Amino acid sequence: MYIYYRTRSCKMARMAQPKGTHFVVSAGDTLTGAPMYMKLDGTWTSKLSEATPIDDEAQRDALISLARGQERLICDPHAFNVTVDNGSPVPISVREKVRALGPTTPLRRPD
Amino acid sequence: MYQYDIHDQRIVEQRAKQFRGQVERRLSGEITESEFKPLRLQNGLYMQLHAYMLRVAVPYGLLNSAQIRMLAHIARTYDKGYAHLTTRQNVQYNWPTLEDVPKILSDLASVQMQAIQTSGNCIRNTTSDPFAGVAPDELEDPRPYCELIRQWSTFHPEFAFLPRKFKIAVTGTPDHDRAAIRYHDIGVRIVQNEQGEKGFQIWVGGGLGRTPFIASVVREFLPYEHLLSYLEAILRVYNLHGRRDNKYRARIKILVSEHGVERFTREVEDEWALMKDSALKLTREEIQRIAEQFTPPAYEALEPLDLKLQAQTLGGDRAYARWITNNVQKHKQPGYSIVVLSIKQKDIPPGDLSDTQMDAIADIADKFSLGHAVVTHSQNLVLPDVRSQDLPELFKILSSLDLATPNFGLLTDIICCPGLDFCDLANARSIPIALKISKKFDDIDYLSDIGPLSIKMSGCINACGHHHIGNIGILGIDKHGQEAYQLMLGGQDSDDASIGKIIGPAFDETTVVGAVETIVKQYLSIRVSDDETFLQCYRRVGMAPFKEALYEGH
Repeated sequence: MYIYYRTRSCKMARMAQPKGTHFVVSAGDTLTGAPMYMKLDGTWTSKLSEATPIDDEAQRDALISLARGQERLICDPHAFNVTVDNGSPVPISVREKVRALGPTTPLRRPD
Repeated sequence: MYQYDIHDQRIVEQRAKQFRGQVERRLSGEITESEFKPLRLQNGLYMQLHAYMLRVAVPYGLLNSAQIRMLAHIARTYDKGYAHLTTRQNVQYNWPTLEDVPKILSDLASVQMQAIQTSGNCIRNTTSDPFAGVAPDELEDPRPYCELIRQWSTFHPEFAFLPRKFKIAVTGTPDHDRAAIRYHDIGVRIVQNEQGEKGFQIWVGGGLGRTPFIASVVREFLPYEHLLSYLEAILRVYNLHGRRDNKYRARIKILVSEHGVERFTREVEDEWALMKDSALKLTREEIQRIAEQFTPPAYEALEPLDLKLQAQTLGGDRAYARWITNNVQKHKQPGYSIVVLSIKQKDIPPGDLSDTQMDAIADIADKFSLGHAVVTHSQNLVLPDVRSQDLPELFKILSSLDLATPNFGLLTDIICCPGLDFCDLANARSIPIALKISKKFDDIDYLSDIGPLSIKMSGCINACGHHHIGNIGILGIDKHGQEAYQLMLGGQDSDDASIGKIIGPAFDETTVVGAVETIVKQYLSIRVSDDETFLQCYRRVGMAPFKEALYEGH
């Protein structure tokens, strides 16, 4: 099958995504750049499955503010959209799926 | 090859030391990420999807064997055992930790390498013809001029914060552009005037990205001594008038388009008139000082070999014959050849090299190519100075390293950006599609029958994979959270430059490779002869037959 679509910009393409039901707050680990996900208590985990999905925009904004105060540990805090399956967050976008699972291509030394 | 003087060496060593201090302050919390980000970017350090990415500068793609060994050492010690060749003839590492980067910069400095200006809105690595210095059709070696541009542009205080990044390419071959100069902010072509004097033809305003443009000539002939002053005049006009209100309209191509070539040229000429005889005016002595470091080696006096005959006399070794035909190019010196190492191995991302391969390539460069190799903008490597009589032995060694795939310039010699597997900007993955295409067309006889056909692929509209100028271009897009792939036909990067056109609705991940196959089959069925290339065929028949083959029944 093919999909009719004409790109105008990356930004517009991302805006077109469905929204999901919840948010997860994420950032990059300052030391390694690896994706980190925020738990409800404001601590960080490298596993998306351990992140706390939140459905409240005010709470999301509060957690991002909290994350901004931890910039020695993390970089570029942001929230992304997820659905929730058996209590675990499932990203809507391919970007966050790949970011959570790692490259889908072969690595020479996958450690 | 240019050798650092004491000042060059001190600069890169101090730069590494300075960055060590900046990293320490970032990790201690003394400076914030927003304060640190511009500092790390000025040292080529990005934060990508899974990790930091360090881009190492390889001026005009030229490496010596000690540098290749150091790149292997860095891959082994600080990364996951591999490095990635880029379309700006640079090298990238996808997995360094922040605290290791100062050590990497120190290691690089020890072999006269650095990562300065490999990011940010400044003048980036100047690229050139990968066959520079050894091509038989070359008017003059462009690398001394690339080096002059590198020295002029490095830390140039006026151009450290341009409206956007700025890319320059130089070719010394007037009639065969292998450096894609028409798609650069500035393209420089060495030419000869009617009086037999050598100088430069200057192209401005080319580029890819979301708004692709083919550059325009702003000066047909620039005397050699004015190269830097003229480039400075162009940069000044751009710096003054280039848009800073919208990053998507900030490249010089937009300025040239909005002003028109005539007005832009007039502005440059006016600016240049004020400064053409300034300290930037080059002297023959200064050019000679740099050119002496690129003096051709003392080639042996060898009899020219008929390579095709040599291939046939080796017992009909078809693999060797294919490799000679596709990957071995004519050298300016009789008895020598240029060898292209295909870094497009089956099941390996295009442009990826392991540490062991790099160590082996360093040894090979020492033994077979006077100690040098060149990174190409098509993500391959070139051994520029191989004695033709050594080709059979070299082929055997390269085959054992999986570096002798005879596909240079053929369909599986795919240019491919890192895409959504690594890049923070990407909308879709590109490497898995490239690997699937390579697998689908993993038949060298079939590839040879298809003939010259470039596939170039990007995971987003920023076009790092040059999709606009592939004979078949593939652009990854995001459609409601799903990856989709637009196909373009008719792009070309050389003297007959053209920008590809979208053929129609995009394909999903499961159907895009089949769509490419359909296009290729249609070409094979309608070409007028085996000698008509894909691009010639497309230009003759247009889009319609391909569109019909792809979308018939939908």
